[in-house]
Amino acid sequence: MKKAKKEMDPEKMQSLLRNEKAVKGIAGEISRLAGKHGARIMHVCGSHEHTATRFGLRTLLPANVELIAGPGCPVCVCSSADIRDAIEVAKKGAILTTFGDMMRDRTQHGSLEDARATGADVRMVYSPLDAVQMAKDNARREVVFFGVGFETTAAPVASMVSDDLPANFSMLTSFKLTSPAVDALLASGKHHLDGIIAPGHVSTVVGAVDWARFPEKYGVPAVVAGFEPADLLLAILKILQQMKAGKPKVENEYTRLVRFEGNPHAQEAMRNAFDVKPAFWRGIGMIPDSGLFLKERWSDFDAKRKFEIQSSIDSEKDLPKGCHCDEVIVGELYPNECPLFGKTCTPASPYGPCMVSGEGTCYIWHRFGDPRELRKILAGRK
Amino acid sequence: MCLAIPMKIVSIDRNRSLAQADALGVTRTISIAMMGDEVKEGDWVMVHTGFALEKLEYEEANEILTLLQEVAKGD
Ligand code: SF4
Repeated sequence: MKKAKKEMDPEKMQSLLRNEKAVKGIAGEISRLAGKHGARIMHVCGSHEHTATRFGLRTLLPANVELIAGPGCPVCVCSSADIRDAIEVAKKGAILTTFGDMMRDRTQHGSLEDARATGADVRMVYSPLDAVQMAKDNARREVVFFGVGFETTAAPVASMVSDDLPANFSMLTSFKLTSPAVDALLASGKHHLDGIIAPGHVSTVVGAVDWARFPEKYGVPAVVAGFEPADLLLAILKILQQMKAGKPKVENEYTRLVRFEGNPHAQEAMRNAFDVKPAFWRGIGMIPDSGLFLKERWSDFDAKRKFEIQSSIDSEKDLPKGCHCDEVIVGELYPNECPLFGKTCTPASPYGPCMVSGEGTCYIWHRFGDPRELRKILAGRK
Repeated sequence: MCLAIPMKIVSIDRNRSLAQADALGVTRTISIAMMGDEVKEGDWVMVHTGFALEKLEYEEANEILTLLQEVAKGD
């Protein structure tokens, strides 16, 4: 007989994953295992940074176990060329729809918010489905969805791509793949990492299997983790256990959601809609095989074609003068080490891209970090 | 933007790959285009930008939850 499934109750689960005793128990185990050597562990997800900072997880870690934030914020790494394209499309009279975060992302060409203030029809949507609906409701207008994100956003958009899309709908996309970015960091030889915490929701799409290249190529453990405090700490613990055993592998801590092989329907939708090509990451530069671009077969829905837009990358780093996002997004600098942090650059008035989005490391540290704790972490690092 | 929330499927429109799903008493229309035939009423799914990304399975997680329950109870 099949075992009856227990009713899953996310609230109960959440309280357990935040239980102080449980969290401190895992942290104690981490301290015991860290030994003299410690570890430098990178996560690649704004939501992981949110959990780490909001719950003060770094204060529970021994000083030699460093948890750093990698390139895990799609708004932060979206090139200003892509934003300029969106502004241009909006100025050509289309209804330009996008996620709220993209409105304020600043470039030397201004922001979409500025474009709206000067009369362009820029509208915020919660879901790309809303943009398609808007096209159906406004048959005489062109409606463009400006989609920015990682696999978690790219897969949903891919699943909409079909001949059924309205003819007055098109899209501008800036979709990126996460694991190739981490791969590029390690391949450059400039960054030392002892472990990678793989992003839970990205991994629902690509699977834990997508992170297997790190133990295989670099001997670096990779653990897929969920977003509660205990999830993150368990991932760190698993990395330390692997280091101790000397057997790096890929592990899945987020089994309640992530399948080892990922979501086959989502992967198929992405293969149908996009080609994988090199892409430009703001603050990092070109990364091979890290971008998703609409296939030729769907060029009718490509807003760049429709509106005849030629884009080009602005500059090597593509950042405003004095902004250190290039170092923040690869974990070489903590946000409060940037001289502009909290002064000329705040969530209310962001100067650099890492301060714009709720997933940007600078934003998260400013909004949720306890300044005393942040100073202590900094002192421990020097 | 990778923020996702768990929602419970209330009803399904298979022809259009849409579902009504509920979180904290708020019901929304979501797409289940990436779920194949695997999802049914009463299931919990993780929803991101209006799309179900994957099903949540309590059973699968038991190992970790049991471990946590033990640590949480212990002294
Ligand atoms: S604090 Fe502002 S200026 Fe400094 S790195 Fe962060 S986003 Fe850039």
